[in-house]
Amino acid sequence: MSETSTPQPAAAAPNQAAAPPPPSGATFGDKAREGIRRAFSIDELGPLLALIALVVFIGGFHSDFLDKDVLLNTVRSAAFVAIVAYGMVYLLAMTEIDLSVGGIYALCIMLAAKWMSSIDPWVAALLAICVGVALGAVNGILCNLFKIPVIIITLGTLSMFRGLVQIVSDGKPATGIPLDSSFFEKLGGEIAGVPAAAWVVVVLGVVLTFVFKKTRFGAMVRAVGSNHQAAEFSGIPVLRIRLYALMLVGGLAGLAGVLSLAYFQGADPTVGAGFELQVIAAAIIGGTAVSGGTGTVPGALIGALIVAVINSGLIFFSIDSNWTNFVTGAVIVIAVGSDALVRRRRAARALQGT
Amino acid sequence: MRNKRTNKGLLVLAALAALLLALGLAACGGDDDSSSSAETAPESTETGGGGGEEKEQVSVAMVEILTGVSFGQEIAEGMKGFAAEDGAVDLQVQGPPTVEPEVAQKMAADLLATGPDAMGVAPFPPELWTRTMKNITEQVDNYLVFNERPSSLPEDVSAAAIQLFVGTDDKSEAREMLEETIKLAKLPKSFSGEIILGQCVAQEAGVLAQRTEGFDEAIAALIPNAKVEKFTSEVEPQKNTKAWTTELAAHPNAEIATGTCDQDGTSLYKVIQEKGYDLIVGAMELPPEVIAGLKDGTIIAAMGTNWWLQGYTATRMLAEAARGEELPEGWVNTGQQLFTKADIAEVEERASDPASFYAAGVEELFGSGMPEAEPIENAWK
Repeated sequence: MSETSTPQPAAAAPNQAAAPPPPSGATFGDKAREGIRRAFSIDELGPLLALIALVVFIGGFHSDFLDKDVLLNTVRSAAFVAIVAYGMVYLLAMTEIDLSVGGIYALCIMLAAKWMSSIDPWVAALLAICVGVALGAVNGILCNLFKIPVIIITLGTLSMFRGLVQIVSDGKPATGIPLDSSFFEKLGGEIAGVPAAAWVVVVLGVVLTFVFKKTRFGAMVRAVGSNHQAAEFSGIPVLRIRLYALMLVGGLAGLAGVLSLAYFQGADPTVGAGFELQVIAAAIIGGTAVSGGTGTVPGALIGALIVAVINSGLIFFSIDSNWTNFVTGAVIVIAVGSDALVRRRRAARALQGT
Repeated sequence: MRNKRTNKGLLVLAALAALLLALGLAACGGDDDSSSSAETAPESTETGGGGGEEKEQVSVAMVEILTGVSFGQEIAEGMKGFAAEDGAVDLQVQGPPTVEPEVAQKMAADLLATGPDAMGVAPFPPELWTRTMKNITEQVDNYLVFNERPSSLPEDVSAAAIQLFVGTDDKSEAREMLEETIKLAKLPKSFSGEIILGQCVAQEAGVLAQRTEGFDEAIAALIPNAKVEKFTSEVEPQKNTKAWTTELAAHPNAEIATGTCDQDGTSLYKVIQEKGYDLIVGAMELPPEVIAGLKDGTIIAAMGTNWWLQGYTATRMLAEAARGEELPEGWVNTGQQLFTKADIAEVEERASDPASFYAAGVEELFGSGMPEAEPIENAWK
């Protein structure tokens, strides 16, 4: 994707094109209008409103859906996807897509489970996350070596990593997992009544949002996506940034895998099928455009939650599960289409304002 | 111009969203497939089967391995068949369209939140369902597993949270089918030709692995000198057919072929019709192509697992337990039946009117109340 995208001017993020702050002495009405304008400029607002609307709609018809355990369970199931989707936001901002995240996720789960039968589960988990980072590095090195887009290389590594799962597991589920270890109790259980995975996804979201928006690395990621050539000319080490982003995604896939293992307490060669599509869908539904240059890490969590809420809603409304894929796909189309229209409107308004 | 394009785009998106909403409301408001509710008026007393007694309305939730294949649909039909017969069961049947254990468990968790009186799950693979099965036993009074055993290995079953399994003996049914195929083909014990075995999902433990073991036992007993070629034939039907096309082309001297899944029988029939191979074929399950194969002789023998009866039995046991009956512990064997060309009429009755076909089986299981269960370890023998 990065080789063929049309270079775009490195523009400021759309939300920075909002009207300037009101002058001192502005009335309360002016300030309120300005606040509302800023609020509606937030990238995540649309997906957040959609999520709230969905929860209210489903809860309105089925009050059981608003049960604390149901909502926390929904957050937990979305967390595994959202954690990896955070990394996918970085890649999408660079107009790249990593298709191998499902394979990395599955391989890290299987390796961690296998190692746990002979070493401390916490150490095994850490090693598995390191393997995830290493696999991300493999993707990055291959892309840089052959100078081809990430999506092409990861089309191959997806199958390679999935194949490694079969080889490592010998086609069998992992056995001898020490389920009485504190690893499963702490990471698979709850902390202060909230699933551990939910805590991890929130804290990680805050950290990665800061990195994406406020650090040099994040700025370079966005600059590469905005205009690849301009980024190169300005001295940004594009290939190295891409490598780091892929390592980040790999590490996050490993972390999600380890959390998943802690909760499900088992590892099977079939785990993680279709995971990469869920991750990409979450990032896109959450508001990250595939055109690059921008992205929203919190949006990835919201996107994952939207998909999880919809899937739960189908259950509560007793709708045939055959509708799941159709509904998820339709939500992606609506999200992508809405985002494109909103961005076009903002750009038009920004041009009119200059 | 730009505003017109934007407005058009908004209209298209709004229309798509409205269509989605309409389809969704139609799906849940109409005669949907995922649940059956008893249509009992408040004072209704005659709800079928009970000879005039008022039956307590109970809710039963079931989660399948997957719903996108014929066996999953047959199981669901059996479940709904019981709900319709009983008249006082609020039944929810869910399952992912393809094999997605995490999705299936999320469905189970959501169904648990609706507070069912009883719950049944097909825990595939069992290793990933440890926590969910434990949650089920903590939140529901009546539960069982069906279709898939509560653990992959017999030595682990005592630690499983759920100790009641409704299902079949996969190893013996596969063994019986291949033995019958070999006998009908009149192959001598000295047979040393090539036999191809397909396994649609490469497994070392579980239902399909059990079937492969059954094939191995049949070969060892009747044609021990045969050359055995095993391969992964894929779950998805089109991929399965391609896999068999390639495999048979690579082994043109193969004389016998069979597979663990219903897709294998379908693919073998299609490939033989297209390429004209001269093969001795046995099949597991009875999709339409296998039935056609039995009729025209392409397929010698086919084993039909009693999926409908399995779904019926699991649901009925849970409903009766929710009304106060005690569930047994162990393995309730819902059996299977071997079919050959001579049994075509039965095959067709089984497909068109399973309630009548399985009436005798229902009576055998429930004639004296709750079905009897064997020790659960027997489910691996």
